[in-house]
Amino acid sequence: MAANFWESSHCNEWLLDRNKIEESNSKDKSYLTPMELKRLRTHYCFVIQNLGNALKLRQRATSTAIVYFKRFYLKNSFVDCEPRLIAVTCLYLSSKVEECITQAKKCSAKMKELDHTFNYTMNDILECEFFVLEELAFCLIIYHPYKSLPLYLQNSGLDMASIEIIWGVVNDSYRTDVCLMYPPYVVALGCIYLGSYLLKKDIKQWLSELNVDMKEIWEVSKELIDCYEFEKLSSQNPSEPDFLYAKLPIRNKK
Amino acid sequence: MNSHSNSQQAHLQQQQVYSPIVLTSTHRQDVQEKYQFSYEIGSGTYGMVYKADDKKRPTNKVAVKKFRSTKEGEGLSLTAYREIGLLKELSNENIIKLLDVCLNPKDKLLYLIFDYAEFDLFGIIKYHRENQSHFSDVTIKSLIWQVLNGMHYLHSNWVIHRDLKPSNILVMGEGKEVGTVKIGDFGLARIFQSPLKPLNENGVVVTIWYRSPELLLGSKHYTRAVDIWAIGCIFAELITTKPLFPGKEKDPKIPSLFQDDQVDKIVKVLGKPTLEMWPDVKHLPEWKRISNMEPYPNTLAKCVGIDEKSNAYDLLSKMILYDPSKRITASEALDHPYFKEQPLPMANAFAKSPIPYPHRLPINKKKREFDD
Repeated sequence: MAANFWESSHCNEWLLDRNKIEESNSKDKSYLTPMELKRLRTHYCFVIQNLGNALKLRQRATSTAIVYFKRFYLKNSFVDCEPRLIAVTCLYLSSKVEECITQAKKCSAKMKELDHTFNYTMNDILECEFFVLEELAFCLIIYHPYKSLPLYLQNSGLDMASIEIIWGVVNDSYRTDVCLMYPPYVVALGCIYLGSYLLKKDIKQWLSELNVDMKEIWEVSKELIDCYEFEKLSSQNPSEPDFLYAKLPIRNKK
Repeated sequence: MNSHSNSQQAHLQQQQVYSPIVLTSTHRQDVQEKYQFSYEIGSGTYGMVYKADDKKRPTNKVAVKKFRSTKEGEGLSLTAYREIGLLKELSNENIIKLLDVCLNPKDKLLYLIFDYAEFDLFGIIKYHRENQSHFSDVTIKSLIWQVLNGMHYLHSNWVIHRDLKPSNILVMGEGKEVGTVKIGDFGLARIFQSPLKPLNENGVVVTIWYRSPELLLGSKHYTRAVDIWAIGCIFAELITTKPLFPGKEKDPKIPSLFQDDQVDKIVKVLGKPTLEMWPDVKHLPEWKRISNMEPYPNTLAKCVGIDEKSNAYDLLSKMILYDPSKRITASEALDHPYFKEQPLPMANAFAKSPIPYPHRLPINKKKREFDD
């Protein structure tokens, strides 16, 4: 299973079509427009990334946490489950699964440093750990595009120096929903495709010779371009997430 | 009287006050609502195992593993995470199946629900030893084939078990899977995408009887070969009904301790390892401790009481080979002539004959028998 993605729960239970993903955060839609909701969802990906960096966790653990967060809200909503608490809990959980364990106490303290209005405690995280596990249906092992990157880069004829740019593109891809829709190798190829475009290198010939669905690869890169454009627009209003958060009548807010 | 009702009231209040911090989509049932507990059948550092009935399918017995709660502030243990994470992904006829997971967020308790296996190799080897009887050839071969089959599945999926011993190898009792091996207890199992740290660095204690020589001599890396060594030891134990290398363990709480008695037990059977048979041994931290030992001959055939020219001996000697890089792999072992000659291995290791072994007893009852 570690070697066999095709028999994994990730492949067989957690690759979803777009309609299913649209059902995410259903209750929040009464309070936020689709664009506002997208803005807030993206915001929490940044929150997890920043907290992961502050805790010096491996990128893999941070990426796993973002996938957990997205899976969690497929059936839940921010109004019922406070998103910052779930974000921290997802990261605490992924630090155990990815074998770079951190303490719940440290998680809540670091989060408080990054966001002074965060008042949840270690015990809240530990209680939440159980709820998150349940909502993930105990499927904890996540496959990532990182592992296949070096091999693909070598075969595509792109130089290894471009790996840094493409690695960054892969990290950015977690702010989109491609990790819920496509197998990691498709995400990897989509990121390489976009990277080659940024590097002004033509790899279409190589891609066309692979036995892959070009439409999916194109869709991954399209999702990324949309994401960059959306983030560029929303960066003009950095306080918007706080404003949107305040619009939600969140249960048990601390 | 008054104080009694007060405490009852307080208890009720406490129950009412508990309101989960988040409201999720999952409808939770308490473990007691879903399963009828019969009695405790095992315990370990992780917690306790109970025999229970699945209330929805009353004919199905299950084993419920209840994890001990961890220290304040730690949440669920890494062991629990590894076991859930792996078992959720693994599926093979010779690997124990995780049927359900129950959580109680209030008490912070975790329960894993498995297929109930009536027997394990520890119990059935003990039965033969105490009755001075032997396993039939077909049973030994079927058990080992199935253990190797499950291990081949794990190894080809990049999972190392790391804690194989007779009590972790379960065998199904009466039912449609009668006589089928189920490898259990994945608390120490790991995916080996990245090099694995030695268990002792995690403060974990494992039985030393089935520990491979490279680990005993201080190797810092786990490979698939450590599992094969353990299966080899179990193979010999099935033949003789006695453990092959029953070393006396020095303080298990000091992980770096050199286990000289265990190493001695191995040398007394396999002979002293030489650089010719195991060139890389010179890089192992504890090699110096045995390099000056007197030479000692290999007496494996005599110890196990089988013909040196038999296929069984050939396979056994390839599984308990000193050099881990030359040790037979699970897939090579499954292809060994031993499994191609009569009697052929069977899916029902008991070969349809009546099963003489006692069923699992409640743990306290066992203790009482022991006291008698």
